Amino acid sequence: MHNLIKFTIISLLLIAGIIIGLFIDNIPYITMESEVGVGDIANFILVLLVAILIPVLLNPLLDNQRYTKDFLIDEIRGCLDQLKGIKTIIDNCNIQNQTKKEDKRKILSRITYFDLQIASLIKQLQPSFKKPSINMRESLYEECRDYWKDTTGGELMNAKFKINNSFCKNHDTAFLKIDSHLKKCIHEINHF
Amino acid sequence: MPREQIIISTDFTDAPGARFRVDGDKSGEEFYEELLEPKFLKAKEIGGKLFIDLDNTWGYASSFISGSFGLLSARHGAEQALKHLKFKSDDEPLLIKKINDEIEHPNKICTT
Repeated sequence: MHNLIKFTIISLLLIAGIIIGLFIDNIPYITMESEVGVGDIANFILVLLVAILIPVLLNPLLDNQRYTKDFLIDEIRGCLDQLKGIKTIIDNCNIQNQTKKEDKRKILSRITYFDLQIASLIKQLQPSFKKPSINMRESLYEECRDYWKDTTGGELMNAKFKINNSFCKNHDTAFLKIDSHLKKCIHEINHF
Repeated sequence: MPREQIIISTDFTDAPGARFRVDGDKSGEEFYEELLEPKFLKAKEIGGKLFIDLDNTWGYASSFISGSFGLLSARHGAEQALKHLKFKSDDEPLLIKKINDEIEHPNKICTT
């Protein structure tokens, strides 16, 4: 049905073109200098097309892509801020040589929120950059899982455990790994 | 399909702990022994699913997940575990994937 409508419109335009051509031929309001060649006409049409195509079609498309990319990059910045917040809590516990139950809960709930942010980022990458973001979506999940395992897979939740230098050092390694991965994602999104 | 159910926040705790009982209260091992394994066996017996609601807690440490679901997988097999478990996690959508990963590749600590 859709194709039939398209075909009818194209046919009507073609017929209209032929009729207009015949009229112009019979009533020569538009005359053409005999020195004007086919190349000049082609050049004129090309200039006209470029002048219309770039602002009307291409610019909005590029603007939309830039807007989407900036939005995704802001989301990643949010994830980076969340990570920094977790690191601050861990570092403070180490500096104060005191780890309360509430601190551990705060760390866990922040990691849960970070997980939510990554899940949301993965979801948002899909509609705009489905194909180019396949690897990024998978690696984001893997890095997020590894960070969670490295941070909470050991002694952290043990009742008597206090955050110490050794824990901080291991956390720093895990933090730098996911932090640099997220920053790499920003560069990759800019190249989509 | 007949099913058993565990709502972790109300049936166990809203603050899941570490891996083993000796590590403190509400550990993964305690969860496994008190709730997960008995309900899993019931679900298996009736050929149904064990539905587990993971929401409304302070979050899960990897050690807790490994000490409970990893242990279940090590003792009863990954295939059976995946067949009879069904999860809900609106608070942390990636958690279900993480648990499934743990079931498929249980931590070595669980298998010893």
